[in-house]
Amino acid sequence: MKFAYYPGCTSKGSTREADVATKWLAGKLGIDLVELVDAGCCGSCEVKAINPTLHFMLNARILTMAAEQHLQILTICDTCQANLLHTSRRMQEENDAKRSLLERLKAAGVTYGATPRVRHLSSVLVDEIGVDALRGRLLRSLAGLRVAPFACCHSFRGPGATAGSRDVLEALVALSGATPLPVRVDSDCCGFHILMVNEGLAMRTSAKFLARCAEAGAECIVTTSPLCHTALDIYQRRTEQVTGRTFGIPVLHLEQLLSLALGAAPGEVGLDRHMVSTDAVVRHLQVAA
Amino acid sequence: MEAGTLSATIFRFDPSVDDAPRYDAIEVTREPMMRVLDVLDAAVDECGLSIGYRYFCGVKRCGMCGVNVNGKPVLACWEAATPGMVIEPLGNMPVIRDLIVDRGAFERATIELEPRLVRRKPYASFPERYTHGDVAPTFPLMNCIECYVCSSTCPAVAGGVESEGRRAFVGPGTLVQVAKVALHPKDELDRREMLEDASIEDCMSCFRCEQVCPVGIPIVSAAIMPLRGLAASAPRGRARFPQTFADNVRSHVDVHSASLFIRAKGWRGALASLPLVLRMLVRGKTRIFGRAGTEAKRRVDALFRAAGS
Repeated sequence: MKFAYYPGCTSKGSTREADVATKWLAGKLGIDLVELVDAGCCGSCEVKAINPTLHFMLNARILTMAAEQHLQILTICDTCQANLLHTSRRMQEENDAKRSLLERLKAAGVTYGATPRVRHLSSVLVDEIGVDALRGRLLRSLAGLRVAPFACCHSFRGPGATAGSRDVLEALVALSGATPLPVRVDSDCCGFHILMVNEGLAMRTSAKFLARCAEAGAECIVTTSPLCHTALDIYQRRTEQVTGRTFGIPVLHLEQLLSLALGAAPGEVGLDRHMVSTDAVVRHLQVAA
Repeated sequence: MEAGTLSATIFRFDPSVDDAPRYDAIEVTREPMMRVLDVLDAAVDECGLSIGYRYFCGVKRCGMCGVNVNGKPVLACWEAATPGMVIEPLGNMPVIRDLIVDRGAFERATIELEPRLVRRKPYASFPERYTHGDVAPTFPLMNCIECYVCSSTCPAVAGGVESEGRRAFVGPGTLVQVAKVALHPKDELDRREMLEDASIEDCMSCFRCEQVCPVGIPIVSAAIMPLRGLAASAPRGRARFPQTFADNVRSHVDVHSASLFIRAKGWRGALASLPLVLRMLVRGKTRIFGRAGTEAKRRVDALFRAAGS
């Protein structure tokens, strides 16, 4: 099983542990990752506001880099996944908008050919390897750990949504032996996209989810988005300062949680790089039954 | 539940006499194809409850019957009734009585943002010629029934506070009304400062409004994103972030978060965040230097040029 791996900017910057854990997990499961070097940013939610054509072109170039190697793309960021998926849907249409995009891409030196399939790692794990096969490989269990899964908004709504993405996250959390708690409500958002614009509002927004986690007794949050991870982990102390509440809830990338269950040492998958201590999670690790 | 009946729980609160809200459990005769609105009518007619709720048309045109059903904001006239449902007022608005909410704040914001075409030049002809391309940007927005269901569940509205003369986010429902005219080819008003005053930069791009819109308007994609694009070049620079982000991608290929942080917050704002930045440095969570090579920069710059940016 071989994929063109597009980690996204954040997994190469402020949440490098997501990239590290993905590579550990892929190695363990025999998934061959060919990293797309210098693929650049997918435009997040900002470039499309300035110039939607440019947004599609940035993503089409990334798709081309995978297509040239005849590989599907594998992402580990819900926002990258949504942008690439939305673009791949656009590029499979036959209309003037697409023809115009092709011409502009050509003018920029990009020859767009086939559209590769775009897949988040979590769906590859469920659809290609399978939950039962994964269960058979578990070396450790996180039984007893109460987890609040947090799927990024972009994974389940908006033009790049993937049907069933929240169920996939919950199933993989449960696979680790942990107990997923239905804490996230639909109006929740981590506030990542306004962190640099209105930090106070972002903090008040993420605090609502964190407060609900605390009330539900969640010992850990698990996410499929490095952007949500940034808002919930890196900024958690700022959230505490703004709201006057103490949370101290560790936030794991899904790839880390699964790697731990498959036998990774905490340091091997970057648990020591988090801003909120992950000791409470590590204490739950036990030999799988 | 008896055969042929349907039970529901309804939020009750009259701020002029009640200290706190309560919930009334009801059971009404079950009819085929029953809507939430039918259950409310039956609660009055059969159970004798004087529930406050609002609607005019009953057919998804007036936008007045928004309620939360099991936590989901919907139109009572268009949502199928389900056994045991909990009916509550929409969020992000004060309750006037029971299920009736005060939409005044959203409506006033809409009016203040001049949701009308401003024409200064004489009309070239009458009737004026329009092509499909002319009206394409505003076409999906014209279905809006101004129910403000989107604004009732927007997290940026929920967490918004007014501070130092800066208005709280006006909400997606209001921005749709503005976009109808701001994206219209005949509109001649420079609305960029107005959009800054609406705190449009507070939109979190969570797409919650799109998820709940009863008439399926792609609110973020078709209204808020293009308005953010307009506002990015407003003279005061309050809503400049999307342009700052795009500039960062053009220079660095990958987002270079350290320089984006400084550009977005200014040196003073960045210095105020120094403790956070230092903790990030210690944990290897920020890069001083970008990763991309010269060739990648050239290729990405070519995309910007070909896209007219």
